[in-house]
Amino acid sequence: MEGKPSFTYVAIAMLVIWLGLTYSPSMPFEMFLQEFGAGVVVAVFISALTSKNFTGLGLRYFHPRRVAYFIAFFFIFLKEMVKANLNMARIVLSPSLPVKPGIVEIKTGLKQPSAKLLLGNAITLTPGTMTLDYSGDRAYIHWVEVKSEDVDKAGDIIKGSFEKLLRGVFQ
Amino acid sequence: MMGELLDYIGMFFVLTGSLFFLFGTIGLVRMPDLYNRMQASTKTTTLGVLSFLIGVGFMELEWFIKLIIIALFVVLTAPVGASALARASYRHGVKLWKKSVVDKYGEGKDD
Repeated sequence: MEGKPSFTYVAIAMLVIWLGLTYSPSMPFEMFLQEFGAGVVVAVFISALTSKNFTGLGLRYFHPRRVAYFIAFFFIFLKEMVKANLNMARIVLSPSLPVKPGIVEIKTGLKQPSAKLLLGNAITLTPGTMTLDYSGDRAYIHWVEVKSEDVDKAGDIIKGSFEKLLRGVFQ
Repeated sequence: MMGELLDYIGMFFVLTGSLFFLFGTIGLVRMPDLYNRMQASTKTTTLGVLSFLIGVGFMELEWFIKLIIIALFVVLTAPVGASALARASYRHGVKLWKKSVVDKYGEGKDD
């Protein structure tokens, strides 16, 4: 499933990030060439040191269906993030501090480490929940307002539509 | 005219970002234990930084690509850092608040 990316892929990704950080539309062409040259040197050096530590997903993840699911995931994620912040603002500003914290356990059907990482990140940034740890197919979630202690019910509330969308991306 | 309008839009986003930082800080002071505090600070600072970056992007259009890359790194790394810190604290023995209702993590890990 997930393999090691080749040295070349890492170097290209590094170069793209480098150019994104240094490029500006008003720079003269000679300066762009200088940045590009320096970028190639740095990218090759860094990927020579670190390319074996990255996880590669392979080019098949650029299939249009997967990309469409990922874009949907991204926008729902943004929406949930704004909701999470308004929710947090409501909690910290209300005089009674309405919290009912606890750590619940949920199940996930996702297999790939990258998918789990994205799900964990999404959970951490969405309303009232924070991923603590994974153990096999179980995730432990700290929840500010525990609504259910049941594994399945809590999972449905916490994961929302994220898991479905990520399954579309990764399977 | 156009530049001025973009400046005002940028200011709006920067102001929104600062408000979220403020809420995060209030949460940091008011929340009862480490885990709730982490929640308050992680969520609000992530959206606060994003809002800030968007605002700066409107003010300085040339920086937009850089700001998008920075935003991507923040969104990818902030929650991972928060999870790692919270997990490390738990395993180190930082207790949950006494009014916490459930602790499934502790139940499974008594060794």
